[in-house]
Amino acid sequence: MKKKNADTIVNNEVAAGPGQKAYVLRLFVTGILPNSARAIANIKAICNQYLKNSYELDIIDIYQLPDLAVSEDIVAVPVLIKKYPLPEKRLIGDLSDTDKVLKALDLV
Amino acid sequence: MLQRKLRSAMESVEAIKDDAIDALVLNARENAVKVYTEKTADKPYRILIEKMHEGALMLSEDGIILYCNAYFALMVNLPLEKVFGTDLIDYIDDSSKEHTDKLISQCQVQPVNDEIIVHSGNGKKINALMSLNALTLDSKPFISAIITDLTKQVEYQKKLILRTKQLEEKNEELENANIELAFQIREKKKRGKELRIAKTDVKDLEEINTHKDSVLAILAHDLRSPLTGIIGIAELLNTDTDDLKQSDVKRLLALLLKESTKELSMLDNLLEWGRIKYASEAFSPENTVLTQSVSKVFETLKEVAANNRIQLMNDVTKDIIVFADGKMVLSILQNIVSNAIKHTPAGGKITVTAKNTGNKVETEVTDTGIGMSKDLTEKLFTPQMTSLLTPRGENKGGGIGLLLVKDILDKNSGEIWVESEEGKGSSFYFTLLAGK
Repeated sequence: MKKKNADTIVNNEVAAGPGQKAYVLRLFVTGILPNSARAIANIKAICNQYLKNSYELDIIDIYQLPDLAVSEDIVAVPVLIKKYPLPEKRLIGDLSDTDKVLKALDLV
Repeated sequence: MLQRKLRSAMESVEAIKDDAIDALVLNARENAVKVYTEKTADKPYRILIEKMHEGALMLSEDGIILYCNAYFALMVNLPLEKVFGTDLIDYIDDSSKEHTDKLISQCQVQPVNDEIIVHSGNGKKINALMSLNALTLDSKPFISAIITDLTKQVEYQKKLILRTKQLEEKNEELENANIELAFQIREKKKRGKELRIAKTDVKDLEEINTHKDSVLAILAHDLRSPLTGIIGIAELLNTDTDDLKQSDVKRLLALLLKESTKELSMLDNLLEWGRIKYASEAFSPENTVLTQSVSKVFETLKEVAANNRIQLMNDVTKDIIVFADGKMVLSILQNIVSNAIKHTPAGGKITVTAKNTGNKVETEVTDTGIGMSKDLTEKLFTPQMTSLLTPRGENKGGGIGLLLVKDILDKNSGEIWVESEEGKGSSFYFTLLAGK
């Protein structure tokens, strides 16, 4: 796959309607457990660096919002799910491996 | 091979998802495993945090919300999934932003708590208490935050301040009303006093009026009667001059002399009474030897007494001194004794005695006369005595005399009263200040 730099990524409005963000991401966490905390920090950093303002991120605590966890068929947490742009992709773990994350986001 | 691996993996996952397992076993390190089981001791604490009615958050060192409970999401009016991962400072009102930043740094040293204003998503501002505590979990630094809504307290405070102000105002009103009331009460009392004084004055004036009427009645009677007699005799002498015998003329002239003298005496009494009543300068009390006054009076009346064969007894001892106007003492004695003479039958006796009682001298004039009824004794020194004491024979009058006595004694701080028994006699008592 061709490596895209940050600039071109910002201009990528594929599959996004007017007013909608290009990337819709969901991160499932378990309250304040260490992996979850790390996952949150990591995804924020990556989004700020590579996606700038064209993303929508929901961070879902499976204890407080169990219904969403069930509807997404969650097996283990933390897990990042890329809803859009399609195809949907999942990555389980604390997201400290940036390359793996970028792969899941189809940014590499 | 791949299919078998895949099937195995999927079966494991299915087993896990079907809650058919009790624990997951992970390879943490060489020769050590981590066991994850659902049944932990932390559940009650987690429930506590999730269900409490205060905002509970876990922040990174930089103030990113890594975790928050539903109550906080409610406070800022956003869904939970949108609050996670955002900056706490985004939900703080501009007025509290600087303060909050300071608190976040300060809590690294020691736990802090202070009032801040939370800015809710729909524009509402919430007064809140934020409590921050820096802690370490698995060697990682975090900040725990509890945010308590103070809206109610603030409201209560405002209400309390308002109520206090209202109470203070009411208090002031009441105090003013009180002062007003106290003033009015004082005025009323003053008015009442004035009214009472006025009433007393009216009473006095009424008495004076009655007195005046009685006095006029007495005057009319006492002064006119001798003159009627005098005129009658003069008429007789004038018209029948030629027809009258020498002896008759002599008799009539003697009568004329007697009546004229009586009239003069009446006038003197009246003048004396007038002097006492209206000329207040003519009042000079001095130490007077009572027995001498009695002697003088007896001297004046000895002829009248002798004519009626009445004995006059002066039993006042020489040591009795009174402090009063000398002329007035004479007037008192003269009137009382002459009154006694008029009411004592021939052969009777009039005795004067006196004694010291405290700072006063009590004098007694007792006669063996006809006495008076109880009714009369009560009326004796009041202005009601118009046609007084039915006198014996031609000796009419005497009303002015006793009024005079009463007025004199009033002026000399004295008292007068009488004890009498009809048919037996009367005793007149009067008091004067004792002299030295």
